[in-house]
Amino acid sequence: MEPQFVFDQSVNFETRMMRVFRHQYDNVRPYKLFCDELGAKPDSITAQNLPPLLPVEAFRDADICSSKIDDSPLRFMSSGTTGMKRSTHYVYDPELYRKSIFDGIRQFYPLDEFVILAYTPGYIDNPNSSLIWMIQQLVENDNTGLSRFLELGEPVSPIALDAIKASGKRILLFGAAFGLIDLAERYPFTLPENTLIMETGGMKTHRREMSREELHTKLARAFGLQESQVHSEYGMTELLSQAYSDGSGWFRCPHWMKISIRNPHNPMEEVPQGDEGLIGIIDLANFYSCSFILTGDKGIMKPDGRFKVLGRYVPENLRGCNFLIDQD
Amino acid sequence: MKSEQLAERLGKAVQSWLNDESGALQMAIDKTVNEGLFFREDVMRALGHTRTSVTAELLQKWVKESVHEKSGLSNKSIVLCLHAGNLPLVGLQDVLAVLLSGHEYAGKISRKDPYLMKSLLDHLEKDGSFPKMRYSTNLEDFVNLGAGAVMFSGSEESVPEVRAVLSEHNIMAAGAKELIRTAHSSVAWIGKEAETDTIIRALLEAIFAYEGKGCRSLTTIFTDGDARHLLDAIAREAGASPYIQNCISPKALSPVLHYKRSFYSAVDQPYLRLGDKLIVIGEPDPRTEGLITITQSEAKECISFIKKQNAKIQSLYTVEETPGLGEIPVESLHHAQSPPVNWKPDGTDPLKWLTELEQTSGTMV
Repeated sequence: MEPQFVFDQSVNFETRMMRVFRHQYDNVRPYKLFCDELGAKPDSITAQNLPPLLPVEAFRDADICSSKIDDSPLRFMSSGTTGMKRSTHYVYDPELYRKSIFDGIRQFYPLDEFVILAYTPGYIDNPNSSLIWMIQQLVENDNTGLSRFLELGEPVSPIALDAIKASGKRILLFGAAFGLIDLAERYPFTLPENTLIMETGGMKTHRREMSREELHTKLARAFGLQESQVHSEYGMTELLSQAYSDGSGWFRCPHWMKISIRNPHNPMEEVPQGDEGLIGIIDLANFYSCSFILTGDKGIMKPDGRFKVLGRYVPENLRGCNFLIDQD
Repeated sequence: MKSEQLAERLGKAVQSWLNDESGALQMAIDKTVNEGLFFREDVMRALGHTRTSVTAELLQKWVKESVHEKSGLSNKSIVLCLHAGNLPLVGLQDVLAVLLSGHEYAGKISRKDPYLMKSLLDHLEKDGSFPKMRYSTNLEDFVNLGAGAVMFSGSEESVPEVRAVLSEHNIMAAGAKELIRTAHSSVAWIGKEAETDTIIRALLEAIFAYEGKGCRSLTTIFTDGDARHLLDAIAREAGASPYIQNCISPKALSPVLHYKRSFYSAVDQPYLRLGDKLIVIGEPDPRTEGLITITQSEAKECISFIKKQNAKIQSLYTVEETPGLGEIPVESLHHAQSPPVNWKPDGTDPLKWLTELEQTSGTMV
């Protein structure tokens, strides 16, 4: 089966989803076992009764791939400390990922108007990072030659900035939040006023924890921009698609990706509209791995499908002497 | 009456209640079991433990340790105890502490444990040796109580709700003090040399006694031995132990455990289902009800986990065969479900706290 159909918006999402589900149920053994244990057979899945969402940890604990893993030319791994077991995403079809990257970002940004700058480690140093691979594709796509990875710990060259200005293009600056703040603090400079910053996560560091809103305010000030010019990207090793947020903090997905907010006490069901819960993702671009994923992130969703990421989900106290005032 | 005399009187009264000449206790037991509030094994366990731990001698020892001669028993307050009802006789230590401190006991008894505690309190009241007591399963019976202190155990999330309810009924005096215990479960460190049948039995008891609902219940096991071997040993012992077989709930897995079990099966993660509980080899997850984890790691990871959980962990258990964990205080695994009467929930001795209670300020513990 050719997977390009997942990007065909002339076919409704549920139809595309059912084809993907059937493929993965038949070919991704851990996902099939998971569905079988939950009693979710292909003929029981409907638009109302969605396929089960596999915990994202499955990418750490098993090979989630519908082909032989050795046949996958790309192998992305989550970051982790020494000794920690890391998630692995085997990417059988890099072209599928490439299309998801470009179609996805173009759904929300006029990509050709931008020069891509990335204050992140380069691809050579991080061949297993899906984010860096994505940025590398964006950099390579820009035929002006102005897009590039910036040197970490080095000031941004005023000559390079002038060249971008002269080209008439805008800057789209990718980087982890605290990395960008460090850059601004060490080498203060002002970005052109039509720049967009694309913050790629990294809310927590060894230094301190900060809310996304606080961080965006700080980032905007550091680079002399408005807060509305600090956008965010929501992605992970286990996904081949990304959601994007403008300055509002609400993320939007490309049309082959769907979010649901799941009940932490029963991930098979969604929470009532407006309630917080676990972020569940259907990413049809994950055709050769698993498209149905339950993350460990807490989120909330609006009726129009936009969602907000509220950090890692920390369960409430569910046991112990937690029964104080009897409910009549 | 001095505290030590009170301790002697109280110990004797509790033992007399357990001897049950009137038959009132037996009625309370039968009602509790017949109404499905607790398993008979757990009720008998709680009563058996009370018999050995609440004696005149042990109460006197507690008083000697915790009540200083200069303690202000002249400043008597009404102390409200909110009994959680998750275990039979839960909050008994608070009752004893209030009575020994000389304060007046007011008890909001749980509707989940309405007979056993009432039976004891009725007996103590008849004895006539103790300060005034009032108790009820209805919070409305404490309206305008003017209590100078409140003691309860609960999650951090539940604290605002409890305060709101107490305020709504005008139960507490201005500036009343609070002793709130928020730890939710306990951890065991089992060294690789310690995998004996006795220790496996103790682990099972720590997990399954009282249906695993207490803050002393074991939810998180760390071992530097072979986790799979430990899981297999637990499976064997559980199958052979009539006590554990009786404790295993016939209830279905909760939806979240059903979901997790499906995941463990899918990724070949070793687990064991015992009734409505899952024991799994993996990362600690002390907040999912019914889930017990075994983590194979070095001791430093166990220490790091406990520090990270801050006050959420009640106790760290270990066994003689296992070296201690340095800076973190340990308790014996064998006493997980049978602590001494003077144990310190969340690190605070309730008797000492009560005898040092000042009526004037509202500082929270």
